[in-house]
Amino acid sequence: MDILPQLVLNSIIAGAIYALVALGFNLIYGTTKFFNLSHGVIAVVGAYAFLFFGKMLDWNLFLSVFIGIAIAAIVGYGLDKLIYLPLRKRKASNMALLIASLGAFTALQAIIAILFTSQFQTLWRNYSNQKIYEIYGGIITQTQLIILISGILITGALVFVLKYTLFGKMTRAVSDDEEAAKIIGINTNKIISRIFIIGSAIAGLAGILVGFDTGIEPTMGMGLLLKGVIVSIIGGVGNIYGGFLGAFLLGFAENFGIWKISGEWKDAIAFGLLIIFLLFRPQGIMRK
Amino acid sequence: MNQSTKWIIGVVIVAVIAVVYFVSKGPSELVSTEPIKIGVILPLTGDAAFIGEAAKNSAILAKESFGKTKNTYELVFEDDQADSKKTISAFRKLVDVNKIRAVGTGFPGPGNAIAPLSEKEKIIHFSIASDLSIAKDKPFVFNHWIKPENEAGVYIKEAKKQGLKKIAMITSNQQGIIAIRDALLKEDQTIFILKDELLGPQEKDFRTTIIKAKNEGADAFLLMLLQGQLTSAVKQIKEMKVNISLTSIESFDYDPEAIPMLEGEWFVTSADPSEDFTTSYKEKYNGLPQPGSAYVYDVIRILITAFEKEETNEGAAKFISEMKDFPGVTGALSVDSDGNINSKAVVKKIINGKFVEVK
Repeated sequence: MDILPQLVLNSIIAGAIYALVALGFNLIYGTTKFFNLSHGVIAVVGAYAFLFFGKMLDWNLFLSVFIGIAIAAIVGYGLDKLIYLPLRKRKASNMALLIASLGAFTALQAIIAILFTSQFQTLWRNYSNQKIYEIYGGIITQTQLIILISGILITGALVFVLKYTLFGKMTRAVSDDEEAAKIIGINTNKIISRIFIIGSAIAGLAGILVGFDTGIEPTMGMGLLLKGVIVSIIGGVGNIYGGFLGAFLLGFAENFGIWKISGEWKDAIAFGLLIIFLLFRPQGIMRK
Repeated sequence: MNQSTKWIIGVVIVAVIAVVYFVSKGPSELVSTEPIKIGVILPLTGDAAFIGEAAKNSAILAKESFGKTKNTYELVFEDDQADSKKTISAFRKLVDVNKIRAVGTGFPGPGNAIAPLSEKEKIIHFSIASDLSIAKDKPFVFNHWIKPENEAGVYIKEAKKQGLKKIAMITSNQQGIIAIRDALLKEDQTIFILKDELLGPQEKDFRTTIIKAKNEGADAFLLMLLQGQLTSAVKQIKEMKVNISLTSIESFDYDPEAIPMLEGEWFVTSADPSEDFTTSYKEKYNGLPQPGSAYVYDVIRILITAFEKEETNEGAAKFISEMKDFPGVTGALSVDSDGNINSKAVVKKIINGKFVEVK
């Protein structure tokens, strides 16, 4: 087996996972201007909601995926209504919002561990059931293909919505200048709430798909979040296209980076790339 | 000497005799009524809870296995989720609040974390972990596990018997696992490839490592990974259609989700405990003991035996350090000069989802 096609595919798969996480993160950051650390745990909420309905209660697969995404969206919306909106109304600093989101992350992670135990669990019923595709000697599974297609479709859909719909225009207005958006009559809190719903739904889907690929545990959110944040920064924080490109850049850097050295260096490569960007191109691949 | 002086002297003599009698009697009464407390710090929740719960059951079973004893004993359980920081908090609580005289821990991290503390406090510490350096040069600390050198020897012998020449190591960067890897490489470097392929304990994406092994012509994988990691790695190996033998040292014991994917594969682990222990466990708890359960049973029995024979912790520690052929459920147990009790390693195969010893 030639190693290159598989390395390329591994990089694309990793990039697609990072892209899904970064999409929601960037969308929320672009509108609210704060690093929403609870985004990582929202992915975990989606994955465990699927585990409960799809595996424990054995409900229909697609219905369970939908419920998982919906619960992630509701939890994300709830966090905004209960925590971030009151803080924004009190003109809290972005640092206060960041700390609050870290608190929400920790609390939700602990609740999930209490409800479902901290034990590693799988979402698949039978690993051998899924289809395997061979592309130029490299192998990609059905789940990984779905991750890749979802990443592309959601990015495309977000770009369309932000560019061509009234909601998208209002979102961009809030993103550019929240005070000015208020003056022209945009209900900014409503827009931000909707952004939280959309961003959290994407995170929920990411959690479910990652769970199908590698399994789930309550602490998985931090790893996903860190990669999402790195991707957002190297892509251009708040920029959806940049995040998408950054995700694949990171996927390729990590997988080709460990070709000749130990896999333990993967995280060092990711953070090394982040430092290089912060030093030499802090605005990221694409400026906001 | 007048009458009243005689009375005073008489009363003083009676009082002194009474005080001497009660003082000499008092402490021994206190010792026999106050139980000797043994702390047991285990992962009762979290990833390794299934091992911790079974270990707790075994500890209770071991205490109950004694009939009438000179002293009374109380086991005080604390949950550390196999997280060293929590182990230290649990240890402090056990020492300061519960006033324990001995403590048991599971896994290398927790064992290493409190070994220096228990040594300083002169509290007997029994660790159950694959890192044999935990007890080294610490008279109050002991460890019960299979010597990595024993496991390495058994593994290499079996690998050579199977005709394996290029075994790709996929290893989690965890203290106990590294000790086994080092023992393997010391025993025979020539049959292993990807010897430096260490992965972080949270890593779940092994695809690039798998393809590197395949590209180097590996004829088997040696998977020494943590719970969850093993399931992910095995799934990815199967999905990538890398159809070579999957072997391990100990890891197959700890990841029940991976077992359905490992049918027919072999690994090296501890020998089964005695039939009597397994039967008693099954009768009391209606389930099977888990890896390490039998070690816990033996450790509690050793501690109680030591406290029955010796009144002080120094005496009990000395008794344990000189112990030879103690009748344990994991065999005849002796403590070596580094404070370790070494158990036998065997090859087991997964047949119909069960671990079967290969004779």
